[in-house]
Amino acid sequence: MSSLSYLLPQLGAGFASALVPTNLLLGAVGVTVGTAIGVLPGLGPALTISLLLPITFGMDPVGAFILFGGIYYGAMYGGSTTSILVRMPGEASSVMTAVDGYVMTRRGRAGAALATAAIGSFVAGTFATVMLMLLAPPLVELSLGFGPADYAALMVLALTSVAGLSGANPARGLLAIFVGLALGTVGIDVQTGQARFSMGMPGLLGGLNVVLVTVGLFAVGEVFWHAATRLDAPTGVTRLDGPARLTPSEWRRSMPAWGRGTLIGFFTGVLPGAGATVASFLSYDVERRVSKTPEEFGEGAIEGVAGPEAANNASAGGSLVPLLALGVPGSGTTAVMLAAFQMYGLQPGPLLFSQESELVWGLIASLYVSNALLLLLNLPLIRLWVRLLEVPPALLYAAVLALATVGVYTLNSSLFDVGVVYALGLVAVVLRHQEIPLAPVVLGAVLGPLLEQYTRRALAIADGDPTVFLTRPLSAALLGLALALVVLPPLVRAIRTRI
Amino acid sequence: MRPPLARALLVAAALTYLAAAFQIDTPEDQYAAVGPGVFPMIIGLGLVGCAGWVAATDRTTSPLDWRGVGGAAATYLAYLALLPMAGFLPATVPFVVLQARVLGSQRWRRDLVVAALLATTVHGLLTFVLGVQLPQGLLG
Repeated sequence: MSSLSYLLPQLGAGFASALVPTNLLLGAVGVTVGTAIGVLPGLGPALTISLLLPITFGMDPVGAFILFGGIYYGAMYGGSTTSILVRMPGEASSVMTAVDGYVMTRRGRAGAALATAAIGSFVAGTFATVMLMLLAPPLVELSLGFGPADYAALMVLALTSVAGLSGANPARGLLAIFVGLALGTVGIDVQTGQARFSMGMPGLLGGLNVVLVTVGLFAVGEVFWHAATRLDAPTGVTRLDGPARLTPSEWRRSMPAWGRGTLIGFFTGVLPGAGATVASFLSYDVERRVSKTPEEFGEGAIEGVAGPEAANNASAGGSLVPLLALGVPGSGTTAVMLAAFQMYGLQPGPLLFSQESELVWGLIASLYVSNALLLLLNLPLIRLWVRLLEVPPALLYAAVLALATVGVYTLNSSLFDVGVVYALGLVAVVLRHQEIPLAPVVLGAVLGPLLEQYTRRALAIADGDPTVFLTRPLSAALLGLALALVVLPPLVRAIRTRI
Repeated sequence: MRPPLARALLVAAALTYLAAAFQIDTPEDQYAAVGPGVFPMIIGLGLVGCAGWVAATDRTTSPLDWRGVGGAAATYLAYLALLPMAGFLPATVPFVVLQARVLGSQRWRRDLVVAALLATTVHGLLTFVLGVQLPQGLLG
């Protein structure tokens, strides 16, 4: 079924319906709206698509999905813009982009950082679409074989990979992970209905939304940090210095990172859970480990922007695999897309490819088209985005606080949520003061609830026998890899110093 | 806040979490192979261990300007209080101007223009394009 002679005519028909002028226009609107909301902290693609669902009800399904695809990719790209320029990721999946992207901005290389993000997103989106076409059926079979123990082991692997982000002292990275895991335990326990750490506040019973954690720690935390340190800090923002495009050496360094990021992103995206976030963290870790100059990471290494940006975009393609082939959404955005499918009376699943092939291939082609539109619209806009840096920091930060408030408020129309974000901003100041990195906190908060559920489910299936994690080959291998990530680097260092 | 005090706070917060984790019980009418308190207990032990480890490794950090944070936080709190009463536009414009001033801006006229433009654009995008209900205020 996946032979090229079968795929190409189908894809051609898909492009024919995606490239109709009306659909192109919808794609352009989607990409623009998506980029704009990506810049607003807190307001992500899942929320925007769900808000637009009623409006698109009367539209042709292919057109509506082109609009959604544009918003999906546009929002991912918009999130990277604020990460790079002002160190304020709008969502968890652009947290890693802020690490080196912002250092590049302060060195006057904002244009290059934005360009590697835009081109990397395009490359990753393109290849992820191709892989989606070719690999959907076999990948679905593979991911069906993943048991709870394997998922738990995968999450442990993702968590240990970021523990090394804290530099010389691993205690700080580990503490950050535990703080994140602790934030993830707030709210009702889904297995037993027991309230945990909600301090009698009804607003906390539903748990801490990851968007609140990201916006609180990064956007609000950044503003408070500026207020706390401005006495001895420089203005913090540097104007564009040098060309707004990639130099030949930056191209050379970016290209392999895009490739690795695409592969990591796509395959992580296929697994349900926190696809884009885990993908971007894993990609950053891989880039740092394969680099000949790992000491540059955190100091403005372009691979640290190129890899994670490619990865979070490719994971969008990967997350469509279980949605289209099984009808199981793997991320927040694909869950809303599932609702959209159902609104049009379509049930994603094994039969969708044969019964609604025009729509499926139209959707795949439309993802590709919106990806290309995103690059076309945004590369010329980079200079405009960079001019945002000419806004004086005090005014910019005040505006960001207002935007973050609106973004968070729109999630649940709740001022309580805004208060939570504000408290987390103060927590961020205390953590940064102790030089505890914030990125692992976000990953801990994202993965904590999933890790707990999978661990408990695996133990329940195994009658409480903890060796289940070691007797399943896949989980044993993943845990072994996690252990190696922790133990090997100091061991290698010790051996080297002895020689 | 002096650095040793901040480190002591970190350890105290970790201990508080651990103590609270030990008080989580499985509801009597529920069965769970692993109770709802087990995971928090493990996390609590990790928190205490790591916070102690960080506190023990001596590193001097520069003192923070907590008055600056207090000013920014107080302005933000006032905004939160004003939002439901005044509505989005009338609360956001003065907030951005005042917050910019607290954070060090000297040019309030320019700030006022930017704040008005920003608030109107966001209001328009959310209300008319996405159909989001922003706080209306008592007059809304």
